[in-house]
Amino acid sequence: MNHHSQYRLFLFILFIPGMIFLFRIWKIFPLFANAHTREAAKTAMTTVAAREGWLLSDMLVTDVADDRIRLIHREHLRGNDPETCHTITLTDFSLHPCD
Amino acid sequence: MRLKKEWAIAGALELLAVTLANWQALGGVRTDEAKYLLNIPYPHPPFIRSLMSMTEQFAFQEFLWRLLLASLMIQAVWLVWDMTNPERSGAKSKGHLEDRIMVCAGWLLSSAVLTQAGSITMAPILAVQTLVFLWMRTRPVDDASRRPALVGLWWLTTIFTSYPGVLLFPLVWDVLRRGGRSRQEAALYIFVPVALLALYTLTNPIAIAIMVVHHNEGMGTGLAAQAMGFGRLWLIGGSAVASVVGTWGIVACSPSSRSGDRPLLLAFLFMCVFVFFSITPRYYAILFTPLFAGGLWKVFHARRHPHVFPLLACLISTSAIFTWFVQPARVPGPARETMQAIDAAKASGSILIFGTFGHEWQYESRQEIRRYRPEFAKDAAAIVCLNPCEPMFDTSGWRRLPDLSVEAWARK
Repeated sequence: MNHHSQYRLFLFILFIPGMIFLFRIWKIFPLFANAHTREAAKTAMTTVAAREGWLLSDMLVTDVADDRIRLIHREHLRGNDPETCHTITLTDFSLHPCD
Repeated sequence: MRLKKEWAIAGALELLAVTLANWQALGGVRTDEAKYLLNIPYPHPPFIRSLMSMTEQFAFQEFLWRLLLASLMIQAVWLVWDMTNPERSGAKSKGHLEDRIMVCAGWLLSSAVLTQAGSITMAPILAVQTLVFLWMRTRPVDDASRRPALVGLWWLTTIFTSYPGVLLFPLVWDVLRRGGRSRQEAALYIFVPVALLALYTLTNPIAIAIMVVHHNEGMGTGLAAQAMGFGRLWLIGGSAVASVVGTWGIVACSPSSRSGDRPLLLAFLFMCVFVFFSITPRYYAILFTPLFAGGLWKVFHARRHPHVFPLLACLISTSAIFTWFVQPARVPGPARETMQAIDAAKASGSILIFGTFGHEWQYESRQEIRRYRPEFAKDAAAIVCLNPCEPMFDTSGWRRLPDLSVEAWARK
């Protein structure tokens, strides 16, 4: 394989995860763009973690809007890690299962 | 005959690796190790920890990775051996056997290698990745020039193993430029993966939050304490002798001298700055070791040295002393025995823990772990009070598990 083919293949290999990462960033973009949402999300996560006895490292934010965040709670244990999807309302920090 | 000798050496090295893996296993799984084995998504990128997580179903997962990583660390000495091959590097010393043995000993007898081979952390893996880049630089030009994409992929896996990997970019630049790549191409092979890493990091806000929280912790202890911590790691990294000679090789063979090696010097300086401003955990000592091996070879590459054996004797002595003082813990924490006792109680439900606890508690558990709150007790199988549980739950339906180093209760 010549240098140019290697060059193109290398970029293509990186392009796929790059697009996946960009899509994920797009979903949580308000965390970076809006200081108020970022603070509300932080408070919501720590409040819910304390209330439910969860560990913050088991919570992965997947979607952020002005009034709610969606997250995956994954219990990191030996063997299968049970996962559940939840939505936290940012106004009252109530926890709901995902639709 | 020669092949037979090499197999015998590889076998002896593997015995050493098995011994070191067992040595590490005595202390049980530490919190950082559990984080990687369970693929908990911080602080490092996901490449190696996701591979580790794929083996979670195996009962012997911990020892499997200890053995794999110890073997990787110890057998990596073959890269050092090949790196010092005079036919490849055009050394003026003509590659005297004792010179090559000294450089290999700089790797194998490093206290950092001896005390971290078999630990399940990212730093030893990064050390081997660094060694591979140093080895690539000694490959014949034709060989490297044909495979820039492979160099790029190795760089990608390096920085997706741990963040300090980005500090190695001067070595990668050198490998690519030696292979005949233009400045533009080399920049692309280096910086596109770094941009991808930046994108990945943005997808993981908790990792960013943790980095922001801890970014200034290193300097919190004061400059003198930082310098002491840095000095300690620098000494451990090369068991003092290889630290001194290796640093001399890196710095004295600087760009101002004819045999200058700017990429090695830059990578070393970046690593020094990073370690200096970090919280100087002991496992960072290994980050220096491959660079010291490169520096040692610079010294022996430059000219023949008549004092190798006395130097080797000093290295063996200092290695024994430093390794004794920084040996890994041989007594496991309370997580394993406590979780085994809870398992034996055969109650179903979650396990509540009161007090600060590490990820090793999650690693030892097959049941959900939650932070203790008295109202969760009704659905719990067990309660562990690392500190006295407050407020205390009603213990009438519970029995305290005997003979444990921590207070633990199982449902009757």
